[in-house]
Amino acid sequence: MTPPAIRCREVAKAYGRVPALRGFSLDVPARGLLSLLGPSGSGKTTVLRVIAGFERPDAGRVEIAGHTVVDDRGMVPPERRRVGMVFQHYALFPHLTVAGNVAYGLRRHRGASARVAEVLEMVGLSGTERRLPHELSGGEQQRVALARALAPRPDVVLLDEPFSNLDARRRDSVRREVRAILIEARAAAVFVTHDQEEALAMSDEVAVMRDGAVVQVDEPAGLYLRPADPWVARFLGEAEFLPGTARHGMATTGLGRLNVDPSLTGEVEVMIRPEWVRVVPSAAGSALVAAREYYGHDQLVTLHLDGGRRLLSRLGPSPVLRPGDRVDVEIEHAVAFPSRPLAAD
Amino acid sequence: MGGAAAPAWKAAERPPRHRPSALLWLAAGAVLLPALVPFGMVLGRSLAAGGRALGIILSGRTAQLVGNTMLLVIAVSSAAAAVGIGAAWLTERTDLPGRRGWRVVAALPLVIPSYVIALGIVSAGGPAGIAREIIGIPLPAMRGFVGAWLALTISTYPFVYLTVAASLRRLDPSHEEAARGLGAAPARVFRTVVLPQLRPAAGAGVLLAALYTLSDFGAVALMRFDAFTRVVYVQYAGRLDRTPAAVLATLLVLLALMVLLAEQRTRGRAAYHSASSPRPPRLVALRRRHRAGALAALSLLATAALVLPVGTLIAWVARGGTAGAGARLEWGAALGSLTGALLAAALAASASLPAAVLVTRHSSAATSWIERIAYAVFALPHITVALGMVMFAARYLGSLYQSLLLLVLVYASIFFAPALGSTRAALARVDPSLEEASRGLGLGPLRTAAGVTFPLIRRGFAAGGLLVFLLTMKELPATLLLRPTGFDTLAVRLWSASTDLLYARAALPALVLVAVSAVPMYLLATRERP
Repeated sequence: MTPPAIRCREVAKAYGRVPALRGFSLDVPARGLLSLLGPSGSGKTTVLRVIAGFERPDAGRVEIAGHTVVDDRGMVPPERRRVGMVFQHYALFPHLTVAGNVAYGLRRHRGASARVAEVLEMVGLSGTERRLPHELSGGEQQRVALARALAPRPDVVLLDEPFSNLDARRRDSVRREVRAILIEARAAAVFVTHDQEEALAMSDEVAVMRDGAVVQVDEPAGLYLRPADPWVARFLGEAEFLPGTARHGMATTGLGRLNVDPSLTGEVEVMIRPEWVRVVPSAAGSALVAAREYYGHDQLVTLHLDGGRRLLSRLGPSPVLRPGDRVDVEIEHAVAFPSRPLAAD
Repeated sequence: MGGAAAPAWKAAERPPRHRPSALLWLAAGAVLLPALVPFGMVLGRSLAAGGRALGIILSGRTAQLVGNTMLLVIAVSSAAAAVGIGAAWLTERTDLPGRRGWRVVAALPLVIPSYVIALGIVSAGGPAGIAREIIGIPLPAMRGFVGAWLALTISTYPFVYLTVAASLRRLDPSHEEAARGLGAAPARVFRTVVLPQLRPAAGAGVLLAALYTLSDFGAVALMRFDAFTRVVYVQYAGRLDRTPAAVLATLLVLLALMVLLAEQRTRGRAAYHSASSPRPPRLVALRRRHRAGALAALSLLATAALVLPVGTLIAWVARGGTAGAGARLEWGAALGSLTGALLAAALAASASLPAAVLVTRHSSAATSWIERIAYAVFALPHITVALGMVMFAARYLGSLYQSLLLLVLVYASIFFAPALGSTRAALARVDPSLEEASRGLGLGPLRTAAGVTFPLIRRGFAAGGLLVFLLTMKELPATLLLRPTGFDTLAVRLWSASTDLLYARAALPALVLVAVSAVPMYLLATRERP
């Protein structure tokens, strides 16, 4: 069996007295994209810098492609790790041409110029070889940075907030391109982001980080549908919490009885996402439409339940609802968490 | 308030950006005239000499002079580049112990006038040197080319050091990390990524060093090395015919102008900056062997640049003191230095106000020339200004020739650029809407300037004056040529004593000049930090 592309075990790192990572452990599979998602200050970028060898951890062990690159006995310098890094601001060498930048890591390779042409073709920038970085657009600079990282055929590519410098309109298409390029290059990739949608859309797996450690690793759907705790649930998207009592896989809440994890018994917090709330117009419905934001491809409806509770529902473009309409509410899915460790922000 | 009637706007006053008045132009231009007229005078005399000038230019002696000077410029610039870049890298990018202290030490020769360094070096070695008295063995005499090269390298490497150190602090460390990540070892990273990005800064610093070497008079004169400035002075002092001096001075200005243009061009091309504010770079951990070598190199530099010249001067003063003769401070000369410097500082700083208003508030292609001309006058050889002014004043100015007034006018003119730069930087930070608000509240332009603008730029204004004061204290060639009879300065005393090999007598004024330069520099350095 192939070893994981990266294996981190109990990595700790502090800057002065400020801890950045504490007991960080993660396996990155040999193929595919993993994103590190977390709020700012959660230690995401530090993970990349430790893997690349720019920071030496205070404790713990990192392996790349089965070889230990750092542990408490020593560390391999960055230039011998076979890791490609794409920096947040790209870090293209301003004094070198596009070809010079891409060829920089190919010094000992035979056929360097052929490889330069090959990766530039891969990122769709053939013909820009002799341009200087500042003559390129932001998206082009980023693809040069990607080409430069991929040129020496690294085992892993690390991307630090790769899309944060692009304007929102270009971001979606660039993301798709980058994902396609990385898949074509057959390298494992880790990318850091604080944008939930980006993480879910880009990756095969998402590792959610909080306070310097991994809280949950799962594929995007698993993460969204089965968050490990209320904090992850809230971090990944809009969520309403209802108190309830669980027994035999059923939770009794203000919205009736809902199917939940059968292992839970007693006081629970039940989490409901707006997409899981279906509404059916009905003159005798139990909820009142209080407000509505209509986006076209979907709509967000604020409901007032008869018990006085507020609930959001995300629906398709129809039915057409108006404030004051009465509707029946149906909950398709719910996730329960034990009540004690309350949602911490 | 008090029931003031709405101001009756005069048409000319209404737009906030009215055209600069001719008065501003006049005030800004007038201060530069005492330097510009001499340039014209020297050039005019050379052109009028016609074929004779051509003969002087094409003579073998001139060729040798050009060769000497260029050799010195190239030798000093290369040495300054090596020392400046090396010291900057050691103090900014390695874990050298005592980095902060070394940073100060490395920049310190900037406060010592070049001829004081030259005096320290020239009076240490040789048969008449103090080294023989102190350590019993004579140090080798360092004068001529080697002495001038050493003194000027020490005087100019801080230009390279400061620009390169600033550039190193601004470089984006992720470039170096990217290179490491792509498989480059630290040495290759420095050669292929760091060094090329330092090139604009280092180039600007080196050209500044070259310009300084070309224009410097004191060090080459004390070392008796026949570079342009010294030969111009010798021609002036030794002959009644001013034409040879004027032709050589013109040639010197042309050489300096070429270096100046090159320097301005490197400035225009923006240095490489990262878009983000970079993280502090990671320091290179030196191995023990390398650390010892680095410390030894910096100690050698500090010894050559500071301990040797200043120590020699102190030794001369101590010896003179015990002998009861030689080292005593001429109060007349000190008073002369002080008077000249204070008047020049006051004049240059006052004149910088209208010029700064013109340059910042009415910025245009025409106003930017004020700055360019002021900087060129500051950077080009002052011996040429002095020579031209002697020729002009002797012919047209009658009793003003060899008057303190004329000398001060020339001082203020050649040192106008630093005063303007300082005031201008302060004014550029003042939001024009503050002035507009004052005008809108009914205050006239002068009351606005006095009540709003000036209080806000006071510090920059004072700093500019301080710089001019410092530069005038150290000034030598213009003072030598233009001083009134009986008027002495510390720099002149030092110069005449050392040409007579009376080193003990030269040492005390030299030390006083170092102290006087160090105090304003310290004030400026501590004030810059907010």
